[in-house]
Amino acid sequence: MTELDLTWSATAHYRRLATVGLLPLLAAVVLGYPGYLVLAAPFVAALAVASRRPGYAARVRVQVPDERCVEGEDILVQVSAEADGPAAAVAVRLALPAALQASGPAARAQGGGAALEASWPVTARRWGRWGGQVTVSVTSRGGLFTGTATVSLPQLTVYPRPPSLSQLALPADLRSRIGDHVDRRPGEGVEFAGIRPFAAGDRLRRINWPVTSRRGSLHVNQLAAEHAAEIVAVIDAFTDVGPPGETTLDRAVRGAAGVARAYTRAGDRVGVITLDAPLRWVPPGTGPVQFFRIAESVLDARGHESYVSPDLGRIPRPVLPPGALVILFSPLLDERAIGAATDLRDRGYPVIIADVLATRPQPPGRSASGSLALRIWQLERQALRYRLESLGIPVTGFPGEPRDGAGTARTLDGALSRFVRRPVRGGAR
Amino acid sequence: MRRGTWRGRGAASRAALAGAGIGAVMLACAVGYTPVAWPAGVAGAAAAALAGRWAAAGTLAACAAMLIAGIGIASGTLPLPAAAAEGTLILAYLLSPGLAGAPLSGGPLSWIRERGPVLAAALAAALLTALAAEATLPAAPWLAVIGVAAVGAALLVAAG
Repeated sequence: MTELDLTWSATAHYRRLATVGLLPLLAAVVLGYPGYLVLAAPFVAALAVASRRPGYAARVRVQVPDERCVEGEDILVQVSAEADGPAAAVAVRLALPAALQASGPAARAQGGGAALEASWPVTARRWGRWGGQVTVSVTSRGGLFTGTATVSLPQLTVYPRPPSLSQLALPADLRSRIGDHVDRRPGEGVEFAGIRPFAAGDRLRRINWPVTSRRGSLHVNQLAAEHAAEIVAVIDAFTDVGPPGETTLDRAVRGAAGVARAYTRAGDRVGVITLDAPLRWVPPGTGPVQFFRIAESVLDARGHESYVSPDLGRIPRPVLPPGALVILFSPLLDERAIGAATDLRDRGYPVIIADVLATRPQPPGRSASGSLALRIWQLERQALRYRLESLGIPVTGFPGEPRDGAGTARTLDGALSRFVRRPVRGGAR
Repeated sequence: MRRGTWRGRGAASRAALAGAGIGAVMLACAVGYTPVAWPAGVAGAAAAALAGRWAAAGTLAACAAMLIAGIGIASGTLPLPAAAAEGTLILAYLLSPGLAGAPLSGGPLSWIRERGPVLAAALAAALLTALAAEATLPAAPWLAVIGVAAVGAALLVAAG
């Protein structure tokens, strides 16, 4: 338990006693009648007897058994507080940021024991690294003084909840890494790709005897290669608009987490780049550890203001392997992010943009000029999409998954489904 | 491990009842000596009835009792020793568990054990003041006023 020095101050009860005691005192002075002093004397005597402030401390222990969770999950906060002296009551109050919501009001302990044990389930509503404070209040016996002290909660890490993604969009050209995706190129997989004449070095077990007997010469089955994909999720952290919890950055980070989880589960290599100043990245990797590595890195995406354009040329080659499918989660509101997308496409990467903007500007009032401005803004957005599509960068909407599971918003699956059957091509335009 | 909720509703209502009882005695004594001020007594009783839910109502009830006692002293119906007892009753009412905001661990005996010394000191001070007020010393009243005011001001400053 941590021992905390309490800051003591008079309570409202002390001020009440002083006020009621002052009334006859003032009457005696103003009216010049000493008899009223008899009514004031008990209060003056009582305040004189009990006016010594208590000087004891409090012992507090704050425990959070599990400091990491995913959005929507509960974290248990346990607080034990004990006064070091004679106290009438101990109260504990939990102050949390809006991203964390505790269920239950302030807990109070009563009685001479002067100790309190309380626990709150705290629901994580928004990804990020969050803190909090526990305020301990000790009321002295008689209720004339209260001592308060504050202790900080340990940092709570809330990972973004990845949306589901069952069908994976793949680049047209897979890299030569062994994986689970059937490539167009022939190789040593298990999927049938065609029949060709026998060549020296072919395995005898691959000879297709029906075709060989029809054609009169040896023919063998040709199999497709199976390769892994390399995916780089790019988060546009330049702009963050929208209601808290559903901002464009919230959606972008959740989308990137969904991509990371789905592709790492499929055995693919996934990396992430955060467009911010400075640029931050996680090189592509595979496995569940890579998902948590990415989830940990994207937590730092929030809260940076910068006017510096990112220089993609500074990104090391292993972070952005040639031919990797780039999925950019962006609201398309910052020219630097749009420039980064076109830059990547110019370098030959297949690029998909998931537009995470789900809100639109609200013109003040219902004036005609406001409606016209909104219309122009929407036309400019359409023109931007058309320009990007003409550059070979398809744009899809990703408004995010509905929280209650019953909304009409599109899922990440829906956003990327059109690229499942029609892989995105890179290379020179 | 307890959830963060209030678990003392029974104890709180008993404390409110005790406070209401002391308040009733306080107002009854004041009105008994000064029947003319019965409207203030009714208002004080109404305020005392609300004191369990609204802490400021308790203060108003105490102020009503103080007003009645003041009228009684001015009209001469309330003798100074009785005024000393009335002042101590008002103090006891304000120190009752329901108003003090500091619940007790035990029952009434615990309250008497904790508040008894304070109330005894208060009663003694009031009786001494009454004795001094009745003394026929020319400068005594104003000296007493200045002395008590100085003590009160010092206490307020110390309380912060």
